[in-house]
Amino acid sequence: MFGLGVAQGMFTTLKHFFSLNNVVTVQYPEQRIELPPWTRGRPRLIYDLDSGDLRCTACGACALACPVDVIKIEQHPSPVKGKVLDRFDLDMGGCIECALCVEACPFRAIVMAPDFEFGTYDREQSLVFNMHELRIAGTPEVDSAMEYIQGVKRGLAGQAKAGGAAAGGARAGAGAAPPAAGATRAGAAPAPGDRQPVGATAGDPAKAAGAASGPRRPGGATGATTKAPGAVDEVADASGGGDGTPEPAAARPAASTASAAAGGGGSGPLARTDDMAGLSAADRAKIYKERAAAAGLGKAAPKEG
Amino acid sequence: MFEGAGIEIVENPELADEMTLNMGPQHPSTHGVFRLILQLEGETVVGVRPVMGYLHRSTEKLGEARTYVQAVTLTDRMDYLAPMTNNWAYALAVEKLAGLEVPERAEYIRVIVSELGRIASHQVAIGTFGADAGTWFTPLVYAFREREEILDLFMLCAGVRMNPSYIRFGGVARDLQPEFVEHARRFIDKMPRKIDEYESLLTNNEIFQGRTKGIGLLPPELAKAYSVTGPIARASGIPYDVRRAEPYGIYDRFDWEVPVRFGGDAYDRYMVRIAEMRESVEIVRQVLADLPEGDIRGKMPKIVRPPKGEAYARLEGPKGELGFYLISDGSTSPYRFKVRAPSFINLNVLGELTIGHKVADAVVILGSFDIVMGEVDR
Repeated sequence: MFGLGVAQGMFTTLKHFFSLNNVVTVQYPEQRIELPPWTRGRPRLIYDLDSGDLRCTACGACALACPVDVIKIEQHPSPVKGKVLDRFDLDMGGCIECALCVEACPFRAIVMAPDFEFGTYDREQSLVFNMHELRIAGTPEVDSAMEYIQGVKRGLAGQAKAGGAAAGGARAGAGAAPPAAGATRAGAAPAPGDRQPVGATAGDPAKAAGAASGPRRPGGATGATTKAPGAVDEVADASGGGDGTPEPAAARPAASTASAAAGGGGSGPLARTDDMAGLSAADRAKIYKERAAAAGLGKAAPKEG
Repeated sequence: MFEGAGIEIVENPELADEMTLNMGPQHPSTHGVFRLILQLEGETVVGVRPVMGYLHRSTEKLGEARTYVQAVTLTDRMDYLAPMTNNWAYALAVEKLAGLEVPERAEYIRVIVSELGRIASHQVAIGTFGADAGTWFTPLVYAFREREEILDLFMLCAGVRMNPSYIRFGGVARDLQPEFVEHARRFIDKMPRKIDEYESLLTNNEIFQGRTKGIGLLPPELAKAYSVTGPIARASGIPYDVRRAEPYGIYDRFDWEVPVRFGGDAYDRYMVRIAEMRESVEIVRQVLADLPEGDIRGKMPKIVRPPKGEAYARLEGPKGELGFYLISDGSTSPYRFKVRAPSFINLNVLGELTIGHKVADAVVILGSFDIVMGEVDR
């Protein structure tokens, strides 16, 4: 009978029209899908929790590996040993988020954090992030995410797992649940709360839930997956005020993603503020340096030669 | 004669009331920046000239300026609807060139992600094809619902939804999360029902059949003459699939069929894609059933410098036969980086098919080709 096929399609659409519990959309700015910690977003520089120093040794492997040449590194030889990183600028206007820099890094110093909201009014200044804005705490979650993104570097990951490597100091000190066999399975390791820099204490229920549940199921087929302040955002936020300047935990969850995306890293003395709009990355670096010195965060500023 | 664009159209002086119509480069049914210069007599198409190149990004030249690893990111951006097969084709070519070996587990992972990518690509193909044929966006939305889940699976293994750069020469970039296998199984279990749902919207719909049956008839001889491959050729009765004709990876271990139909019209192209999605689901089900443990990346030098020589590797992409031709001069980047892009080659037969049809049917024929301009122009 002519029209039967049309009726069949109408039946399908009507069935979906009247079934109320299969919502597949997420109301984005209000609801957010929780991204896995190894999401390839903006590259970030890891600093050790103990010392506050960036792990980066200015070797330039990431800049060499970058297929679009958005990483600019300047360094000078250190009087003691190795090199001192003077400048690490990342142009997010050109970054394709391929994670080749993370794979290339031999010092476990760079990771990709799930930052993805980079809306801005100018391309030259607001999208170039300097080494202060790219700081992220070397928490176990970040470390395991970094190891997962590096993927194939089995040997290096094993070396870090042994706890002997200097770079693994933060985790060795944490003492709780080093992601042993599951080092490449980020999110599987529970967060040792006592080592979290700010806010993310062991008593934070949202944090504990986020860490315990691990990676969310794909699809977001339940419309109710609202954004919980997950492990990654905590860490992203901590990068701003992570050096011993605690702030009220209650104020953090709502603003965490937005602030991490809009500026370099959350609130605190090293956050990007409005008056920095229009300044170049080098000028902003000077401001950060001054503010860090004023706040007593000597280690956050680049070491003077 | 179009002076501005330097495009020539053969004018027929006998037809007095001809009209030239530019469809595109920014027409919603051209699937990107693609321009069709149609010559019309009334509403009937009497001349067609496809104009390509609006999205040309010189991918091939850029590949020669990058190292072998860096060039993987370029392959993602060709057929951005099925990046995994692009990665794989490039990886195959480099492996042939440098003589790299791929571990067993990596081969399985490659098949999983590529077949998932094929399903995702065909979902976009049938969804937009429905939109071109006048169903508005209903099938597209249904298809995108499951496509989202595939992209979320890619998120679990590659860390991103699109442009994953996941399949590398020598293996894959990262190991699968345990969650991936679990979610993929669940997805594969429900996918056949969802394909039934797409079919309930389109396959038996009389209006859809009226718009697509007998439209854009491609005889097998013409398909061979234009070296058309992929679902378009298989809808014309040519049972050619690289996975079967020259098995790469581990495709010879699985039990699946090459769907072939003999009508050669737009409707059969749609039906072949539906059948291929079902076959892909079956392949993924079998792969997941015996996914081995082990390494995901074989032994390889830290910096890949293939010996002097050349290599051509091909595989069956969702759009057709995708090939990479690489010449090495012994340095860290390819001397020549050439892509056989199936969309581009399939598109060349469009002019032959469209002449004689109405303008509205030209849209349907183009939609049934499932082109991706990122791959056509590269």
